[in-house]
Amino acid sequence: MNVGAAIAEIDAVFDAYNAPKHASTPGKIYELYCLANTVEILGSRGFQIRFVGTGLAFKASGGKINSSDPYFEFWSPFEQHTKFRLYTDIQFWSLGSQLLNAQNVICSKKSGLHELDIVAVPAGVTGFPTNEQIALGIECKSNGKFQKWILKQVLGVRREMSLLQPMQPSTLSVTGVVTVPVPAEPASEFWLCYVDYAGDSYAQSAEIFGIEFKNWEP
Amino acid sequence: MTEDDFQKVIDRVQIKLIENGKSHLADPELYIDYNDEDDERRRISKFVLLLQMLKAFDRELALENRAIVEQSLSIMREATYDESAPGFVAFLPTPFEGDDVEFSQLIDTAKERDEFVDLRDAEDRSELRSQVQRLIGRLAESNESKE
Repeated sequence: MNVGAAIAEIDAVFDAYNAPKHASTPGKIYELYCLANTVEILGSRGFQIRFVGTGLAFKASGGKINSSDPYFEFWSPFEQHTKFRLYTDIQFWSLGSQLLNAQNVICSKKSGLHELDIVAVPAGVTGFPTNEQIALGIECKSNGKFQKWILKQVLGVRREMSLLQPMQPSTLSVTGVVTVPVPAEPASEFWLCYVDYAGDSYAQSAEIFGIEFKNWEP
Repeated sequence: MTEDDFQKVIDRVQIKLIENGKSHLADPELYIDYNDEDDERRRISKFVLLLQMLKAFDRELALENRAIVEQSLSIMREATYDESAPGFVAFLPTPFEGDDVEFSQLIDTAKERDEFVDLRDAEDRSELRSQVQRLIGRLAESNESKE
């Protein structure tokens, strides 16, 4: 192939390409893909799962959990009274905001709320969950090229979810399902899912804080 | 092709990426890597840079592909004990005022405002992805024949 032929093929590729109407649509499709993979992994860990609702709607920005929102519910067949629910695009009250609360200081939403693409919380939790109510938080990064800012962002979110502690079973490690150790208190799990395999090379240090790196490329 | 030839092709890819809303993939600085042996930053060859840019574009194409939506719903049906899965999957691009809007009202309002993006209406990118992957293959062959 010579340079002229290569440029002609590049032109042909982009002539056939029409960008999505909304720039965020691919990111939301990736969230859907990550949600599906999450449901599959939870099933393989031994949970029973069902979907409750008519359909799913991904939002432009995070918000609170409304009782009418659709969700995936999952539970261990050996501990059916403990149920968890998966929601998308949810903001949670940070660890810092809870420490301020303990001092009777009200933290502003701008400072104290952080968004997660997917969360698992105990059944019945509504509104903005606190960091203590997050059993699993997931960030989904659809960027074709992984960049350092992604690592910095998730480190910040992890900091506001829990404190670094010696390993203990995660909140989701209930009777009858796979036990997952996490270095965190509260014992939340935190996954970073990304399309670009280059993200793997950023994992080493962040994994110390209980950030699980998952290269999920469709 | 020579390094200069590959640079000409990179220039064209950069222009096309920027024209098509993918400027976040067009900056060569993104693709600088570390050498595993001495941990020094190193600039990759023009050939590798070109391939990495095209592969990054292909990864994003995969996420614009309707097939991924159907695949996700299929995974969900298989993973749930009662084969339950969402009846629709949508993106609501405009934030709604207020936090306490009922889900059904949210959907109805989005449809009325024409702000209900059905993810199953995404484009079929299969052929375009094949085209990009064939191009990557041919460029790789060009580089091998040079060596």
